[in-house]
Amino acid sequence: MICMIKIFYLIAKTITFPGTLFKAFLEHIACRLTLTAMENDRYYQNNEMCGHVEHDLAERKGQAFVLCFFPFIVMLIFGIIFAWAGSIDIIALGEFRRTEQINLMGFLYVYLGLCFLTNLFPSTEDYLSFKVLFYGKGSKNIFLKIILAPLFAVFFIGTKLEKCGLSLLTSAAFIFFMPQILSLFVPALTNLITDYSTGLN
Amino acid sequence: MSENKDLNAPVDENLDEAVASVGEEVEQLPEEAAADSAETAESITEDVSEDGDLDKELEEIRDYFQQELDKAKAQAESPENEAEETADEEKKTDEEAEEEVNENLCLCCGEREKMEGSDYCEDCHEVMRRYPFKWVYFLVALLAVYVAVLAVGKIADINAGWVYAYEGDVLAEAGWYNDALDKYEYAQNYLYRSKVEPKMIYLRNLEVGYEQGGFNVINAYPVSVATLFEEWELKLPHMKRLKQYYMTAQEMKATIQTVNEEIFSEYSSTPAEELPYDEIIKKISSLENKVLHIGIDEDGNEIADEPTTEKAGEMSSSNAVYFKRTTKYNTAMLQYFKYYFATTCNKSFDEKIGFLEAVKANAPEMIWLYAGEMGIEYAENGDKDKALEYADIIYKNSETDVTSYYIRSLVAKKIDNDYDKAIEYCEQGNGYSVNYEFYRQIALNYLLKGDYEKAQENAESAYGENQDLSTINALAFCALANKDETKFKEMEQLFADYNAELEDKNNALDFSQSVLDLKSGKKTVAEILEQGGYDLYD
Repeated sequence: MICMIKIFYLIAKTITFPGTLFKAFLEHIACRLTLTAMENDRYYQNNEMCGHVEHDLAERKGQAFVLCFFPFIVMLIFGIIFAWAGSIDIIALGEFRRTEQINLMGFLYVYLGLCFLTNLFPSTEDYLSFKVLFYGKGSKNIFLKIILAPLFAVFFIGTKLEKCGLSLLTSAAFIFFMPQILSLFVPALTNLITDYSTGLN
Repeated sequence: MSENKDLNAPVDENLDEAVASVGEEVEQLPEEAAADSAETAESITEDVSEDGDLDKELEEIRDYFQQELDKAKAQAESPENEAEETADEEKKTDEEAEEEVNENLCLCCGEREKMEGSDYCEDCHEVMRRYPFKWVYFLVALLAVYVAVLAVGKIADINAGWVYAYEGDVLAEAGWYNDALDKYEYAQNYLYRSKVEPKMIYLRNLEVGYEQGGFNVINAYPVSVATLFEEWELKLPHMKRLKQYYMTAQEMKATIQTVNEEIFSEYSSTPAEELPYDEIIKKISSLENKVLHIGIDEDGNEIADEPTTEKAGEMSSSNAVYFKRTTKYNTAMLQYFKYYFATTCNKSFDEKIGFLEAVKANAPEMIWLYAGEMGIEYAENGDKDKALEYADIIYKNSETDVTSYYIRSLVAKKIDNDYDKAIEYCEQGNGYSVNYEFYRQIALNYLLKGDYEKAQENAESAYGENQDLSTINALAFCALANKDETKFKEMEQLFADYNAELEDKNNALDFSQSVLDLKSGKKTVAEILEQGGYDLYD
């Protein structure tokens, strides 16, 4: 069973290799930012650290936060931009072809969105450091605990999903339903901006 | 016992080895003994044969085995082995000490001592805190940023088009088909400017268009589908509904074409009262169950042919290239044509409603084709419940289909004689889609109420929307009722100008009999409207 989970994890990481490498690169940047010692810079490796870099465990709260949050938020922003462009273009509008040729850019956006959204979450070690430092016995700051609770929940679920390679499926589903999700606020926002700009004119 | 014995090995190891080798030799003993036994056995056999003393010889063999075993045990416990074991123990202690020294050294450089709680020395750890980047990843990151900027540009480019399409979806869901189609049109035009080919919007536009219905839609449908989609695309799962709509529209269009060209054209100049009703109905009925070949030719024209062979699936008699198939004439449309002729020939209500019921039975989903006509027929016939039932069906299917308001206004006017309510329904209908007929109906209701001034106002609005005989007669009638001679003369002049240009004076136009009767003073407004069934008669 564990072997199968590892295989799924590696398959997901391999399929989404642009996101895998970019995520590890961002973790590398986070390590440099927090002066966390890294053992190597093998971004792609045939084990559970694929798409992550091996580094010392975080000792401070700030360090743990940056190691988890910085790669997550950058990957999320990139992922949403790509997924937005791709899902509206391909799924909502159905622009499969562009000037008599396959709409390669549209499909590329969908793929990149999938790659970036699949590799959002921190490694298990980073997640556990985050948990121990913010929610462990030594942590008494209730305010921080409440503020970070949604993020902690996202990391908790995301890390578990990514560990089994399931984040690939959840990302695919997210991209497929993204037009519906966007329709909850984008049309209203667009009309608001249009009305505002019309008012200004 | 092994000859290449490692003297540096630990004492315990040596002891184990010695014991093991004794065991091996003990295991080997039976083999040697077997060989010896063979020789001994031969001598024994000889001896037995000579002396016959077998017990004695067996005892000798047992002694021999015991001696060999004792010898092996004695070797294992000899003082030489003890010395080897001591040497091994000493060696092991040295290695352990060396290992302890190595464990304290940095894993990275192997020279300096480790920091507390780390595998690395302070210097190496400091370097690892600033682990260098590979420059290639900066290029990859720059590329990712560049593609992300392109993606943002793409979002900005198509967002408004998608928002229009989304609003269209919401309106279509609520049954506001006209507004939904307008939104899809905006979306398509907007995206066309960005050179986007939005197949999903084409799909939704065509689906909503079909659900709204109408003869114009059916006429344009097959070619629209064939222009916007490839034949293989219609086989995709999400195109299933469109494919079904397309095939039905293809059959309906072929039916309309055939009935128009082969039946109607023959009687185009025949007055209604001289039409051979039974013969026409028979001709229309003959088309039922007839095989039909349909498709699109290379120029994009719709082709519908009756086959020269009866073999299904062959386009034996046409130039159809795309979307070709063999089918039959659309039964619902044939029934509708029968209704049309029955109405033209002023047939009874039962006959007309029978044909409409047949349309409904064959195509219950085509509300646009039968529900409006049924509601109006029932309203005209005084069946309020049935008329309102169909008005509800139309309203539920499409909130903006004004036919439901028209039926309700007819019911209010003809059955309930509630002219204010009738005017209200007409105004509601006009709120969704301005229609000359609603203005004309409002004018008639004001005439029935006795408010001729308002009647003329609305008749003028109807005439402003559409200049045909019904609006001209309505305006002339209202002008006469309102004693507005100027307006009446204006209408008279209209006919005079038209007739003056005619070569064949037999085709000259004049006011309807109801206008002429009012003008001549033969009948009052109320008498005319009562005779016309709350409308003007011809």
